[in-house]
Formats: sequence, C-alpha cells, structure tokens
Amino acid sequence: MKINKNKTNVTTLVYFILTFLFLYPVTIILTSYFFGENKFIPNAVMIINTVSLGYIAGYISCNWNLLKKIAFLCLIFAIVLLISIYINNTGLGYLLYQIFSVSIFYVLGIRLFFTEPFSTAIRTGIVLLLIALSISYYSKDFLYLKNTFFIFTNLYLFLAVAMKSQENLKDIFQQRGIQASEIQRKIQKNNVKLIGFFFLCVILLFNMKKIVMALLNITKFVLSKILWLIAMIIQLLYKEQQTTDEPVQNVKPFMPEPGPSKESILSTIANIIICLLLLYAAYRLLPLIIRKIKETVISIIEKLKLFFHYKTKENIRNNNECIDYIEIKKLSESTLKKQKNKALKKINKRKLLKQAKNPVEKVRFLYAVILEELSKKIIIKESDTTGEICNKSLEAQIVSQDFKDITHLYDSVRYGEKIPKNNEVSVMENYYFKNRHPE
Amino acid sequence: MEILALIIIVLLSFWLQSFIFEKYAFTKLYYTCEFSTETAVEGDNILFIEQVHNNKLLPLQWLKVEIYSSRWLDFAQTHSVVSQESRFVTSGYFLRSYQKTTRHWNVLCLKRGVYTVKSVSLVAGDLFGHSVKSIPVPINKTLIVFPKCVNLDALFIAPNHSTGDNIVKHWLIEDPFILSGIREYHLWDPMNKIHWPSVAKYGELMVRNNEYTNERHTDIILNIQSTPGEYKDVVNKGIIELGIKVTATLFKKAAETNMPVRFICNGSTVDNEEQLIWTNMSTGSMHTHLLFTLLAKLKLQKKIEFEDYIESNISRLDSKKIIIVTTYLTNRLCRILSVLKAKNTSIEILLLSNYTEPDIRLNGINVHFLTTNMENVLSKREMKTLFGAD
Repeated sequence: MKINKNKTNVTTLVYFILTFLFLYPVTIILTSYFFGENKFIPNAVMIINTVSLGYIAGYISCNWNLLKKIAFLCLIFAIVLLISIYINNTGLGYLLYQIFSVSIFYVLGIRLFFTEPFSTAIRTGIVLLLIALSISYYSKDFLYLKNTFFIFTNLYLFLAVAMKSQENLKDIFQQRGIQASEIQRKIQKNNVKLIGFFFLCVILLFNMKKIVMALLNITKFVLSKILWLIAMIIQLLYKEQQTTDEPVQNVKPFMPEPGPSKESILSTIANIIICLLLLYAAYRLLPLIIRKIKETVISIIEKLKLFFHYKTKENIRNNNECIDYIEIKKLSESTLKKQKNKALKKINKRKLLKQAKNPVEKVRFLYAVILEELSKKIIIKESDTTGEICNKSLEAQIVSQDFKDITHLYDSVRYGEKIPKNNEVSVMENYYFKNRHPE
Repeated sequence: MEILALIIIVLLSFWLQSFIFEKYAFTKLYYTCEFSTETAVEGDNILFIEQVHNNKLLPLQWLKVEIYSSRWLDFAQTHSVVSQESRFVTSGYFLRSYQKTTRHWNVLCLKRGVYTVKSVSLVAGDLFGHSVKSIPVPINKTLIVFPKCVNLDALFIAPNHSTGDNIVKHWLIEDPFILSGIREYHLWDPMNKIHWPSVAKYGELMVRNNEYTNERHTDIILNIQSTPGEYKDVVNKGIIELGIKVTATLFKKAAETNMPVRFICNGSTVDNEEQLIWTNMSTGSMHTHLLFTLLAKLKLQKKIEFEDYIESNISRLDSKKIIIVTTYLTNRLCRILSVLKAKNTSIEILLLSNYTEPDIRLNGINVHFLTTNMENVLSKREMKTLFGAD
C-alpha cells in the first residue's frame, strides 16, 4: 500500500497501534525465550520507538529522492538503536538480539504497512498474533502471557477489521469521485460502533462456557442463600424445641409435643410475629427492588440507544442540501388490521342479515348495505333523498332498473310503515348478493 | 483447541453476518422517490423526496441509492457528479429496525425541460463492506420545468415608426352579440334596437348599445434554427433557449389579455419527434398550460428548414397578427412574409441576434432587435445557464 497523503491523523494512529499490537507479542516471546526475562516495559518502549520513528521516517521520506531517503532512514535507524541500547544495556548478546529484532520490526513491520497492500499486512499480523497466542496457550513457560495476547489479538482484529471496512465503505461511496459527505461520515461512524458490538458478541461467544458457568454459579449462590434464609426462618420458628446440645446446623424441625408450656406458646407467637413482619417487609420491599431493577435496565437500554443515536423521531440537516425525517414504525400493521376488519364485515353481512328479527329490519339493513356499495361509485350526500339516489345511480348506469323497485319497497317500508312480504325481501336479498362488488 | 475455537467463531461470525445481510438486506425494504411537484418554472426551488423504509428487525448499517438525473436539476452538490448532461447522485442511509427515513433534497431547476428519473439502484451489503448486492428499482417520475418569462420591453429594442402609426382594421358594423349597455335613442337608430324594458323604466326611448369587435387571433412562430442552413441539432443552444423564454413570455402576455394564440415551430417535442408543432388557435388556462408544456418538451433540433415550413403553410396562416421569434433574418423569409403582409397581416419579428442578410428588404415588417445589454436584463445564473459564462 502506497502512502496516502490524505490519510488522517486517526488513520495513522490506528496503523501505528496495529503495527505495535502484532509486533509486541512476537518480541516479548523471543526475549523471554532467549534471555528468560520478562522485559515488558523496555520491550514496549523499544517497539513504540521503532514504530513511531519508522512512521515519521516513512512519512517524510515519501517525496524525497532515494539518496536522501536512505540517509534519513539510516539516521532514524541509528537513533532507534541508540535508544534501545540505552534502555537495554545488558551485554553483547542482548545488543545483537535487539539489533536483529529492531531490523525485523523496522523492515517487516513498518514497511509492510507502507508498501504492501493493506490486506497483506493485516493477514501477516493475524498469523503472527495467532502464533504468539498458540505459544502462550500451549507452552507452560509463556502461560502468563495468555490473557495479554488474547486482548491484543481481539483489539488487533477489531482495529484491522474496522479499518478495512472503513476503506471498503469509502470505496463504495466514493465512486466516481464523490467526496465524503456528512451522511457518509455518519454511516462510517455508526459502522465502527457496530463492528465494536460485533466483536463484543464474538468475545461473548468465545467465553460462552465461562459465562454460562458464572451464571450458573450466581444462580446456585442465590438459591443457596434463599434456602439458607428459609432454613433460618424455620430454625427460628422451632428454636425453643431444639435442645441446647444439638448443633445449630441441624435444622431438622421438631414435631411439637402435645401440651406445650406457656413459655413455648409465647415464643411461638413471637416467632410467628417476627416471621409475619419479615414477610411484610419482603412484601413491601420486593416491588421496590423490582422497580429499581426495572429502572436500572431501562437506563442501560437508554444509554445504549444514545450510544447508537437511537431516536424514534428526529430531523437531521445534512449540509443544507437535504433534511432527513426519521421515524421508527412498523408499516401496515394497522392497515392490515383494518383490512381484516373490513373483510370480516363483508363476510359477516349474510350472518348479520340472518340476525335481523323481522322483514322490516331486513329491508332496512339490505338498503343500507346497497347504499354502502353505491357510495363507492357515486357521491351520495346526506341530504339526498332515496329518489335522488336512485336517479343518480341510474344516470351513472351502475344499477339496473330493478333498483327503482328496491327504492320503492324501501320507501314504503321505511316511511309507509308497510310490512314487506317474504318474497319481496328475498328479491331485495337476491339483488344485493348478486350485484355486489366482487371482494 | 481454544485458539481453534476462536478462529472458528470469528470466521463463522463473519460468514454468518455476510450471509444474513446478503440474503435479507432487501427483504421488506421499500423505496420510493418523487418530486414535490409535477411542474415547475425555471429558477424554482422544489423538493426531491426520497422515502426508504426498513420494515424488518434486521438493521441496514449502510444503504446506497444511486440516482441518475439531469445536470439541469441542481441538487446534492457534495453527493453528486456531473458529466455532460447527466447528474449522478449517491444517497447514503443508515437504517435501524423498522426505521423510515424521508429525505428532502433541495432541487433548483436550472433549465426548462422534461426530466425523468426512470430507475434507481439500491446497493447494500454486510457490516464490513465485503459482500455487496444491488437491485434496480423502477421509479418513472417526471418533472416538467417550464421556461421562465423575461422582460420583453427591456430585452428588445422597439422599431422606430418614422412614418407614423400603423393602420388597424376597424369594422363598420358593430357586433350585435356584444352588448355594452343602454343609451338614449337617436334618430338614426333602427327600431329593432330599442330596449323596451328600459323604455318602461326611464319613460323615454332607450336603445341597446353594441360594441365593435375585431379578431385578435395571433400566431406565435418560433424558429428553432440558430443559423440558416443548420443541419439538425441546434448549434447555438443558448440563443434558442432565450428564444423559448421569449416565446413563453408572449404566451403569458396572451393569456393575460385572453388573446387566442397558436404556436407554430419547425421543431418537435421529445415525446413526439416526428410531429411538427402546429397547435390549435385557442385561449384559456388549459391552452396556455399546453403551450408551456410544449415549450418545456421542445427538442433542440430542427425538422424542416424554417423558410420551407412557412412557405408550405402560408395558406394556413390566417391570423391577423403574426409574431416570429427567430435568430436570423433572410431575404427569402422576408419575401415569404411580404405575401402575408399584403393581406394586411401585422407581422412582428423578435430577432434574437443581429444576423441579417446584407441588403435585406423588410417590406414593412416590424423587427425588434435584441438589446446588447443582456446582463442588465437576465440574472447571472440565467446568463451562465444560457451561455455558459459567468
């Protein structure tokens, strides 16, 4: 990967950390193996020196000619060596080793990120880290480095993947030379958070066994405590019946003997009162505890929502070019319900008709449903008379001439107080169910 | 084993999230976009409204919408790339579960025309941008941008009538259908003009007063050619665009005075390239809307030589007034127009440039020349859009 001049300071820092993360485990293992010493801090200082100076050298020498570049790199290399010798002045062997390791870090580590494609550098780092991690897991001498390396590996993976995904997103959004916009920056920011969440999940999955065990232990502990409390209460209840010689641990309840003394009755009453008080206290405290737990959970969720900028409704202005109106809602839940209700209504019309007690009600019901159908095709005002509705419908040619008879029948039933005959009702019924709009 | 487990968990998680996003990214994802209005006028600020709804539990950590539009719809400066006549806009989204985002882009209509967003591409992928998937979404939303009217009085220099005013036609007989009111009876008034109800009211003889009418029909002719003998496509597009603006202003003025107009042009529209423009003579808002739509749809390409078109249809030009908007004036065109002039037809030419053939004979045709100080009449943005210079 060639040096990108537009690389931000954050990116450079991340590259720097990545280099350090995969170089440090290797050097600490080698140092411990050759010299049997746990030189954590000197090693870290040396690596940080190497990496930082390497980055500065790489950055500055980017535009220089070859000769100047070599001279500058040599100078930097010498400074690094001097510092490392100063810190680790422990003999020739150690000095030679330091020269060797610094060369390796300098050439492989720094140059890898400057000259090779990013993915190659990442892969190399992962391989080296996995080797270090394997050594720490399976060699007893390096077992104490296990946790450190595990954290390093996860951090490395997170940073490397975050960097890679940011590069990918940039490629996706910056096609055809489109500059990074406010929206894109927000997407990238959110993406880093999601990747962090993803790695948290990965770590949880990796430690699933431990987490389950811990949860089981907690449950066990809580249960044992509850049982202990119950046992204590029972013991308190039958305290008087116990002999003084008996050990306290023996909580086996005694059966009360017939005809207890006055004192034992009093103590039993006292115990009962204490128990009742305890139960009352528990009764009063339990909702409070539950409420507190609920509040804590809600506040945690709210904090998480804030972390992910989760709002049910918000307006965002992006560079005065566009405004986003954001809302969280499930589509068509209510509309589906309405549609279902409508369908049910339509299905139940025959049922409703059957429920009508007399032919007058039937005629009125049928006329109402016919009007409902007509209102979908023509505009029916509240002030329209039945005759006007009939004329309108006939003019619009949406009903047959039979509708005149229907209107007449309805008028005579509604306003003439005529009781319709069964055959008249059935004619109306047939008219509606034959001509109704297909559902 | 633990190392192996770590590797497997990491790889499995990578693969799983990639699989889930690839398979379900576009499930229950609804996208629509539209313009806030169907018609607009040059220089108007309108909205381009995008609406995207992720109606599922799975959040979309990034969604890219690729929109192809016209360069003459100015929006999304930092999100767009302009190349020749098109504008490529990318719109990025971060969508949570069940999130509905409505994005309002401010669009500035730079130029008249018919702009259609046929389809957009939705691009989504996994968390790491490793696997990317895209689908096309048909949109078919159209915006018609009408040309902007200009100040004709400031833009054109009126001809100097050194020989006095023009003679206009005035009918001897008044129009019996146009009644302006009632007046007192005079001796020369015929009996059938007496308005008897008014006589009863005023107690003296009253007659109906009629008005004189005259045909006000006008033909507005636009020459789409920027130079004589132009092959097909217009060479000087800016000047023709100005001609379209001038024509639009004439339509507007005609609509204001309720004057019936007909639009004639030797070009065609983008949706009917074969048909030369020759509208009906009419008036009213519907007709004006149709004329403005034609101007918006006008293709900058001639179908026939202007002189040929006028010559072949000279018998159909029966209006009493003809206004021609053209960029050049030739002797041949003047000869053809002199035939119309002989029929007492008033002819006005709005000349968009100073190009006239040498020794031209106007034969009494009024020619309005374009002012040299266009910068004072047109805005900077209009000048830039028309002539591509600040």
